[in-house]
Amino acid sequence: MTPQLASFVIAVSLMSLCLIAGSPIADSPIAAIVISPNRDAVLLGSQKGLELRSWPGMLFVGTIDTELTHVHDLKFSPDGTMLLAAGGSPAEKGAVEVIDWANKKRVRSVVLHEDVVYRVAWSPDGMRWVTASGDGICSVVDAASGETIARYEGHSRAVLGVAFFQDNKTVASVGVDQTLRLWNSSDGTHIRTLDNHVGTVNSIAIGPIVPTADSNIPVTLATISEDRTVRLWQPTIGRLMRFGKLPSVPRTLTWSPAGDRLYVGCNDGCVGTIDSRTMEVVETVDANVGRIHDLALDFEKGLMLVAGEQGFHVTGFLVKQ
Amino acid sequence: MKTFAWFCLALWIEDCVQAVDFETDVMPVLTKAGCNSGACHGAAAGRGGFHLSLLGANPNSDYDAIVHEFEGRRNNQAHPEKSLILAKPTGNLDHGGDVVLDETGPGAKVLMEWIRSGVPRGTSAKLTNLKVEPNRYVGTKFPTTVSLRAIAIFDHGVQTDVTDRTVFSSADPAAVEIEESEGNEESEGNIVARIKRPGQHVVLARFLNRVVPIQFIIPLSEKAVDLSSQPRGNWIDEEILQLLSELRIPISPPSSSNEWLRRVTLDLAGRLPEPATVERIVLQDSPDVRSGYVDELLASEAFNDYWTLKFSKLLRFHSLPNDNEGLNAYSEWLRGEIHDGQGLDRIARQLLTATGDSHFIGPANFGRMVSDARDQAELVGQLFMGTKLGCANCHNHPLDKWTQDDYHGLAAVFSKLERGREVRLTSRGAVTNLRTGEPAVPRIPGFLDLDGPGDHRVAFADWLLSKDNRYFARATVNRLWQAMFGRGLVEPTDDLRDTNPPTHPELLHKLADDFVNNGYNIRHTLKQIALSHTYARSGEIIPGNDSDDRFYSHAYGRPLLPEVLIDAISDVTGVTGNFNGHASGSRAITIIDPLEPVAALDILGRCSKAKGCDENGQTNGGLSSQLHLLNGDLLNQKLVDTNGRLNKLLDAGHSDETIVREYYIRAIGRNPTEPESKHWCQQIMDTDEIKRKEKLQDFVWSLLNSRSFLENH
Repeated sequence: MTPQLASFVIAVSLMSLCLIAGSPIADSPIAAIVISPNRDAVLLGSQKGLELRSWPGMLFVGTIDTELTHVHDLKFSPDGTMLLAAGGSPAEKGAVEVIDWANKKRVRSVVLHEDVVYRVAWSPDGMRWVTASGDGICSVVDAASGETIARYEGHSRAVLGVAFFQDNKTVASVGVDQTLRLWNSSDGTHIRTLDNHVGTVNSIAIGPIVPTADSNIPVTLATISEDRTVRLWQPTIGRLMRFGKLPSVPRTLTWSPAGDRLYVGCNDGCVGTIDSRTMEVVETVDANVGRIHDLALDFEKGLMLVAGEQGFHVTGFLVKQ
Repeated sequence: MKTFAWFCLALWIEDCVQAVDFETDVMPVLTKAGCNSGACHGAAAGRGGFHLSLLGANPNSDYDAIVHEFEGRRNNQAHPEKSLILAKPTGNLDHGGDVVLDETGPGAKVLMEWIRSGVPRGTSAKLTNLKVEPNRYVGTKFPTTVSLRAIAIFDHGVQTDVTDRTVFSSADPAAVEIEESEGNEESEGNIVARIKRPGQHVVLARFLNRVVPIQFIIPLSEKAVDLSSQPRGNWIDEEILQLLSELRIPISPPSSSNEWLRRVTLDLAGRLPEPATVERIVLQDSPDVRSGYVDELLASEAFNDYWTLKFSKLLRFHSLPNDNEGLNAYSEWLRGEIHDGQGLDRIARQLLTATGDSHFIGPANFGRMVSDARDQAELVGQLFMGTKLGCANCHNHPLDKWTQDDYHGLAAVFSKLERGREVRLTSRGAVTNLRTGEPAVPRIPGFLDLDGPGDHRVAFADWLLSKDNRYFARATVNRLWQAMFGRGLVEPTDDLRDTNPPTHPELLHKLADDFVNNGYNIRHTLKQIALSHTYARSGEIIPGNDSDDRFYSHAYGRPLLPEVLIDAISDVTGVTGNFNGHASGSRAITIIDPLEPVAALDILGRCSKAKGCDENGQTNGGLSSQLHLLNGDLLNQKLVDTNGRLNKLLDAGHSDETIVREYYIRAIGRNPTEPESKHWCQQIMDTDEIKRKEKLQDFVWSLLNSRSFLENH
């Protein structure tokens, strides 16, 4: 048997096994992932659509119908009943599809922008959600009606990240214009701009509320940027608290429930665990998926789902007790 | 397991089909469509949020921008036709740059296939050479068309016809137009150069990181010109006459003895010949006499002054705040080196490596004439290599081989230099490579990283001045040629690169070899040029060579340097210059500090300290300088000066004819012709002495405002 024929035979055999396990989406770029509220399923979003898999087995379950040619974000409502799938067609339209998670059916599709929606975020009370779009605009939408409540047009270029504060009013957004901006979700009025980053700000995450004796503990925000830094902010008073430098450009980040750790997925395919008090990287995991686009952590199981250019990867990680 | 499976399948498929490769297939499409040009996404800030490296200089970042940026927004592997990278240039989506790719053309097809195959990065073969056919075309008539072909040679030995992926661009579209017919299923595309004008023209062929010039020569006449019997002074003439024959350009007759004498004296000594010299040389004119006179000039103090000034401009001499001592030491050293006839290699080495107290060690001031290591790298590139490295600060040079690593690497060579009064090397100091964001690795541009310890300036000087390195020699002889003819074999003289070819490549090569073989001796090269018949050609235009401005069929008039002009006016009028801080009788060419306030020099257009203007520092007939010469004090005050030449001649009772002859020979190096003398005498003649004097002043004014005086011709 020639080496070429051997390669072919092995490939066909292995591919058959893979097709049993799932569809080819698993090996194509995956831009968005989310673990279901009851932690028995995950949803993967890519240019090939929405794909449902079991968790943590990652066995292919099925697909969910979508009209989005690019899916960039997936977010469950705080009560876990509704799912937002954000994306659209680049340079054409940005849309968010609202999916009833119980029957996996699309209940509404809201076209809001002239470019794709990169990120979407629910308000903590689940009454609103907000978009971050490539057209440089953020839209606040009433969850019940799908009507636009407010728009924020303060960014000069594409908006790449957005987050609601715990007060259900204030929104923070970041983008290519290298700024972190705070604004009011009710009317879109600008509150404050923080511009310490010296590169595109790729993502933003609000820190968890940690019960302490001090009831006035300020909201803590984390941002990551092309300048290879992770920065912690007290945005309500406009203060950069501290920052850490990373060996590779960070693309996505998630807080630990206790707020003592940040998990950052980077261009080099590694996930760095950062101590939020020292900003030092305390652990690095090579996810082996190429450039990382999204992270989902299951703290109960101590498992991490990483999505990137070359598909997805499930790995364990240290959960600080 | 799945990854392994895909890997195995990929191996098998690779044997069956030839995949579209990003670097060698996709990027040329983008370059040809102009996507990565400076006016489009290749701009420093990109365009429309999409940035590509200029002309595809950085394939990795381009791949990243197209495939990965913003979670792959620019390609859609599930629906390739919806990919931005395809839909925008073909006009299926609104595109600020309009439609640049035909939807059904080969470029769009390549992009589509690439996306369909999963946007592979590929393992591109390295391009080792780009051959173009023809690389030199000598035609006989115009208009005519010439088919162009480009062959890429890769490191694995494969040669591929890349004509359809190569960008051919004409340096002068009015002379040569590139026409392209796209191929179809029956026939391949064809690219032709349509030559619309006679002369020597250049078309650049660009594929990936290679740019190759194609030279087109179309004779200026249909009638052959036989120059075989023309006398040759030396090998310079051989090269010049060969190209003139190819171009069928007739040559002007030799210049008169007077014309040659004035020309060579101005070019070598920066002053007008004395009447006695004119008489001596012209009466005995012969090749030996000319050779002897050139030797005389090369050994003169005037030569030392003049060439000290010329090199000081190249070296950007200028005084520093509250520190004239450094400039004084620098200029004394330079003049001493020129006076002693030191080879330019020795001078260059001292400039590149000197340290110490700059008030006493002249060449230590070299690094003080620039603000930082990057400036010094640019100056070194411009001065010693004849190249403009500045482009490579922000991006790889679009028309040359210099990369950002070369630029910042050369800057790093000088980064540890402390530029105070005491110039010294320190252990600290670094330059950030803007490409990597990291400290730059010291580097000899285009050649070698210098990551070891030691003074990297010495390593650079060793490389620059090694026997087989011609950067320095080519740059220097090109400047010497420019000083003698008014234009370099390569113009501008600080922009030597493959894509800006010399008018006479072989001549430049021989001049450089001769310069190196004769100890980098500028006097030797200048003498070779001065004694050539080419240099001695008349400026007279004859039928057939009127449009020649670069092939040396006749001499080209060029304005005098501001400093030379001021001195010449002083010499003719007999009234010396009066420069603040300088002894009475000082000559303007000894004022080497461009910051020294001399209004006349500023108005006439001397170099500023910021730029080494070896070719721009001539009076170029700008309005201000013209008005100054016509109405300003520079000339008028000297004409009426009671101690001036005119008053002395009048006091001595000389006739109008004698005075006219005296001024002619001083100002333009010859006696007036009979009609000229008659004309002026008729104009000047007056019985009223006051009016006669005024008319003579007008005569001198006219003479000194004539092109015959203001130009070296």
